Amino acid sequence: MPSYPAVRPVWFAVAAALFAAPLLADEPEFCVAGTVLNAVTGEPLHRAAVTIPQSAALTDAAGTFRFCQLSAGAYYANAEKPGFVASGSRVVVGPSREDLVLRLQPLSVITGKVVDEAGEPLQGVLVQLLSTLVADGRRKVRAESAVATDDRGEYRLAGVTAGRYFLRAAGWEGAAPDPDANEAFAPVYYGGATELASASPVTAEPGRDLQADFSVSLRAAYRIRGSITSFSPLLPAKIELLGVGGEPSGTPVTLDTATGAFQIDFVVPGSYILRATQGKGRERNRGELAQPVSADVKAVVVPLAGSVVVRGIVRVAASSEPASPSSPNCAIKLSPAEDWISAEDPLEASTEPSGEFAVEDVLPGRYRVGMDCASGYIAAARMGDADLLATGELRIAPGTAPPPIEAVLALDGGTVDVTASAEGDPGPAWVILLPASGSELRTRFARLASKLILSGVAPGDYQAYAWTGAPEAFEYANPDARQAWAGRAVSVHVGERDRQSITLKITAGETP
Amino acid sequence: MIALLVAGLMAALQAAGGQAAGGHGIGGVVVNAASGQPVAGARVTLASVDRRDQRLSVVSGDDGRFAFKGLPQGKYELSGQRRGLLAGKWTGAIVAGPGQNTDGILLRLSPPAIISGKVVDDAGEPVTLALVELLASRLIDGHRSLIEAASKRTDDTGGYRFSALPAGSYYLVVSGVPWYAKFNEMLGDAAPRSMTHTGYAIRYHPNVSDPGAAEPLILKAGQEATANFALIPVPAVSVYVHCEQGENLTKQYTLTTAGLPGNPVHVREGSETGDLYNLWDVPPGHYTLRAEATDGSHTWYGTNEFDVAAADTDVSVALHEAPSLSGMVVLETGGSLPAQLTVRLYGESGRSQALALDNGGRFSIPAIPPGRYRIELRGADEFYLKIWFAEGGRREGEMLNIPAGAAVRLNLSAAKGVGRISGTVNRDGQPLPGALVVLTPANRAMPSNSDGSYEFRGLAPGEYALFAVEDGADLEYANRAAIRPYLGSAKKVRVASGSSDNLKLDVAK
Repeated sequence: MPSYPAVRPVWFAVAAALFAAPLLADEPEFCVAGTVLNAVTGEPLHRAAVTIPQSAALTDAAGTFRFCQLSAGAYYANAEKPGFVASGSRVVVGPSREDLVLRLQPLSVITGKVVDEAGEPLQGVLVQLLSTLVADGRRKVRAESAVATDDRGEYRLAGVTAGRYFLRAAGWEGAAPDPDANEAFAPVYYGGATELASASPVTAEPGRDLQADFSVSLRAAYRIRGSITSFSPLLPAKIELLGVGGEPSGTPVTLDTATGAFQIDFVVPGSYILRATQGKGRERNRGELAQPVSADVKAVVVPLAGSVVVRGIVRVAASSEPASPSSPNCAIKLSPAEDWISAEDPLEASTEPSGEFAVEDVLPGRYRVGMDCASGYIAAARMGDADLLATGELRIAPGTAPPPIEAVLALDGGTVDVTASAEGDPGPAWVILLPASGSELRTRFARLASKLILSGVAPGDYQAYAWTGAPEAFEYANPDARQAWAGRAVSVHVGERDRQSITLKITAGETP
Repeated sequence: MIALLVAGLMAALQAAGGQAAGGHGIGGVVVNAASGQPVAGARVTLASVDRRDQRLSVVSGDDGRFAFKGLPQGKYELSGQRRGLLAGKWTGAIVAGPGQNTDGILLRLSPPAIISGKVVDDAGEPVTLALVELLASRLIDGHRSLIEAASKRTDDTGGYRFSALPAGSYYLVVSGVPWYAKFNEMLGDAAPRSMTHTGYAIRYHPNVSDPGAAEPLILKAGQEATANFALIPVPAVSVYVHCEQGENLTKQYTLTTAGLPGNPVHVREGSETGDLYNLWDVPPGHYTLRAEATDGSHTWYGTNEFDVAAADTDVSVALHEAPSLSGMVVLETGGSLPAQLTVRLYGESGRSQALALDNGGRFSIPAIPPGRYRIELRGADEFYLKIWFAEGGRREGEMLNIPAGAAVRLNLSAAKGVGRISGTVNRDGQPLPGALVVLTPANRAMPSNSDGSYEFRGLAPGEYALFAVEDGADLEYANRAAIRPYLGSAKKVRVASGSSDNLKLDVAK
């Protein structure tokens, strides 16, 4: 480093610019300057924070920012401001860039009012913002956030990312306004539907505020009192009142962590699941109970039980050829069967060389079963009396070791050659073979490049679909979704050890 | 609308005999306290004073009227609530019985007052997640004090709203951190100090920075007030907290600064296991830092007061093992204590701590912050603290000083007062309901009942003064200065053990 003064005088940069050629190639002398704009209105954004590596600045009232004394090179400039989606851009300096424009998409705001039948505002009503996603071919609901109405019955959900949502008014925050009245309302979706299937979605667009009002009917509500047994005093625990699809009821719950006694108020008549959970990780205990409510429930007892190990074995079918592998190679997955996404992760296990497997830490409840084997198809799968091939679902009862899963792997499946027909490069695509028998254990799902070979396909009739975009775009377990996609299905019959070829037209993943 | 009798009251009615056919009635009108208009659809609840679990409820009619019939003779409490109005109580008890005129009761329900507003920064941009604290001036046990009534975080528009407020006097305190100050942690000194070393000065209504210049918002029932604030960014520095004790212990830190009387403002909170903790973006000022750590069986406390100026500041805090406190309450005359009796310690910070007694009257708490405390017996009016002494702590007048690390043993002797004073309050020769009857120096007060009657039980022997004030809801009756104007015309009474006095009072003019 030449012996320049420690504080470099400004004239040096000016001089360098005059000579139009830097004296030293790595001397930091470049600038990045630009403007941050609202992407929808085009207005400049004041006090947006712009960062480049190792520096930051706030924009002025004209939305402009400037970083100088930069060495030549590539930088990433990022801009953010509350109420907007952060966004950035790669910028190469050397020479300086003076015209960088960073556009930020505004987040949406959803507001509305909740009134009773007489049009009077209701305070403390919880309004949930719900998004949906598809897992295992089923639409699942996720609660993104929830707010309570104020004394005017008004709510405000700010910072909503653009997308499709459902809104649901369910239960009270803390307690209902009049604790003696014991009135409540049945949860209702925006638009008046009581079920998600018939609810109207709302679409949040950048910078556009949405209004969604609710009218609810107050009616007599009841109280559930009870206790959790096998309860460990003072260990964190919770009790939830869920609808039969796993949806939260929003009812205020009080739990005495010393005794396990609980009380749930403002329960409207209906069918519910009472779920108690205590402890963390492997030490968790759970109790679950179907609870119809048509009057006060006085002394319900929810017994807690620990997790169990679901054991099983996959045997290779006897009729297979001697040369075929005798050891199955299967991945077993249990995922919660409810429509509402809980915090539970799917539980997974793999087969041992003997074919045995053990899924650990399974809490009581309903699960969907997935069995994915490398070399064949599931010819039979039972758990006690339950035929998993027919239902795809199993129930773990509290307090007892479940019977083992017994499955048979057949290696006499056929092969399907899939060819994609698309103009240009469609990007990543997905293919699914849906068995006409409805047995989801035999569904085949894979990523499709231009060609794909699916082997070990169970003999039978299938409908094949292909699409681009999100792998979960196709809600294949829903008959309506299959109906909507019927036009793009290709039928194929697979026989034992035979080989079929199909050509699938790849179309965009959105439901038409 | 007519209430149906609950089974318990029916039984009581039959036990009372005689009046079974008619019983007594309590009725009247629910009105809006602000407009005077009748309130329809209010839930009106009547509870027996002696047996509060026995309650009757009716809903007021379209004309606001309500009526309870067939009641046994006795004292009742009347309350009402309706959505959109604050719950309300009739002041005093209603005495139902022969010759009592109890069918013209006016039950007033107040519309809620509301305070709302917006918090912006110096550029007029909304400040999101600013903390707005609402302090209410309330009478507690006859003392006026400022208590935190509610707190809210501002929304994305900088807006906040407090609803369901009773009429009264309120203060607002607003604090916050600029959202962009987070870049301090990410970038340190690489970013301009104006961006990263910035805090907001605390603001008080009416948008002032000096707590001495804070003014109350005085709200009438149903009044809506607006209070807007501008938070001004000021240069702020880092405070490096050094705590070299308690390795592997998580220290909880709380940084406060003096705010309104008795209500220090929480500036930062955080926890750290290591020996250095950085409090970001602290504006200049005078602060108190408190540290607390626990390992499950022992607790440590530490505190340090310091000034922050224009440069980053290092402060150290030493942890001291928390004092423990145990003791016993015995009844002077022997015998068992009432189950609801508790020992209450009032700290100088305004916080109080209730200690439950076991069957033997023993109490203990493994850790209590060091400091000066006032000791009281609560939960049963007729029991009072007669004598106390402490081992391991210092008695300073009526206060107990608990030093750090001490194991304090407290011996309390309780006595049961058996004196009684009762009577009626009159105005112009007529019984006056709802007047405040004050008994001093016991610091006890009660409203007169529907027939003007009042009664104090469980009084310790001694000299008392007694007076009644017609509109006494706001009287700070435990404050000598506030009641001095009434003492001249107060009735003096000497209570002896087991004595019973009957005194007619005229309301003080």
